Amino acid sequence: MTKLTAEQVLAHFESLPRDQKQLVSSQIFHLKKSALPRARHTKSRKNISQIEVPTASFEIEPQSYGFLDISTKQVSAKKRSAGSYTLLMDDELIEFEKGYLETHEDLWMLKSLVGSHVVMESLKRTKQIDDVFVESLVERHGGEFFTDQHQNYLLATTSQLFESKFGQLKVVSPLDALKKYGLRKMEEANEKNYSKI
Amino acid sequence: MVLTKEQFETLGPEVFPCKRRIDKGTFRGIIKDGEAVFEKGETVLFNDFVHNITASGLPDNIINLAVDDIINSSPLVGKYLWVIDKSGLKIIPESTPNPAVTRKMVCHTNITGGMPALQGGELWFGEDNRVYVNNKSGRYGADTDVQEKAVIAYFISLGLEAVQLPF
Repeated sequence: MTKLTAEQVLAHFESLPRDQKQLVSSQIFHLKKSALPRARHTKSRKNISQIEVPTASFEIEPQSYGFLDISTKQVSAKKRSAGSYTLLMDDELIEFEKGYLETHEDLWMLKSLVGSHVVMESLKRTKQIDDVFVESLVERHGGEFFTDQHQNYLLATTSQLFESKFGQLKVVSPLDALKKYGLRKMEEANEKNYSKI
Repeated sequence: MVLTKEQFETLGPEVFPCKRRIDKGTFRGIIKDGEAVFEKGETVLFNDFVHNITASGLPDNIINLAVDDIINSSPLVGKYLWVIDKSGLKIIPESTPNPAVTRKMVCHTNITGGMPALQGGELWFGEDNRVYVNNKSGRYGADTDVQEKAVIAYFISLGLEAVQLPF
């Protein structure tokens, strides 16, 4: 059990964002009275500076300072947009923000395109699924795509058959394909060789 | 005879899944010893759900769709994945669940168990008793005009009125 001074606790409290301060305040309210330093009423004429300053002791891990284990490191303090939520995935708290993916259940398309192991390894580091995450993986691992001259079809490969149907194919970077046509079309083109766009 | 020599030659060569794309450098997955590495569930042979049309004719429970729907919407319900390998033409409904893979549905390698095949694609059965066929398969899809025509010819040789779907 680690003993902390009141100054240490107050210093940490002051550094918290407002919503966390409110959370802590409600927690302290519910602490047992015995856990708080008691005011000492004495007839002694001792100078207060000579009185030993009581310390607050909390029977918890030192780094949580007695607060609920909702670390600001894990949960973003920024204002959430519609369609954003936190989910538990493989024992990790992951922040999801809607964009290229409507919900986290659409993650399979990204996994299908760049590989499950690539997605999950990256998620362990970033703990965030958003457009930046998707773009970063597609740009690095998405491979080349192609379109016909009229951009009616997105293709994941070339062949004599496709060139006889469409003429010369245009190369499209994976990031451009993502921004113009979306992840669903890219996944379909990858799985089935081509997709109508 | 399942396939004549000429049919085998025009449909082929026989390839391991995604080999045609590996040879062109357009395969995105992991390659080991020149062959694609798949998720475990992608090479499970769904024997209970695969129907061999060459051996047994059309299955009893095929789903027939309006031709307009087939051409305009390519619906998932009623869509079959097809593969031609040395034992003939085999089909499986694409909506057959496969919880062991990312896509949660079967793919062409669930028809072959990851073994070589000649061609693959998608098909629908129309209310007009025709079979509407394309070559959409990243694993075994046609590379040439000759192969595309050979596919339709093979379907016809089985007594099916096959129609090549436009791109």
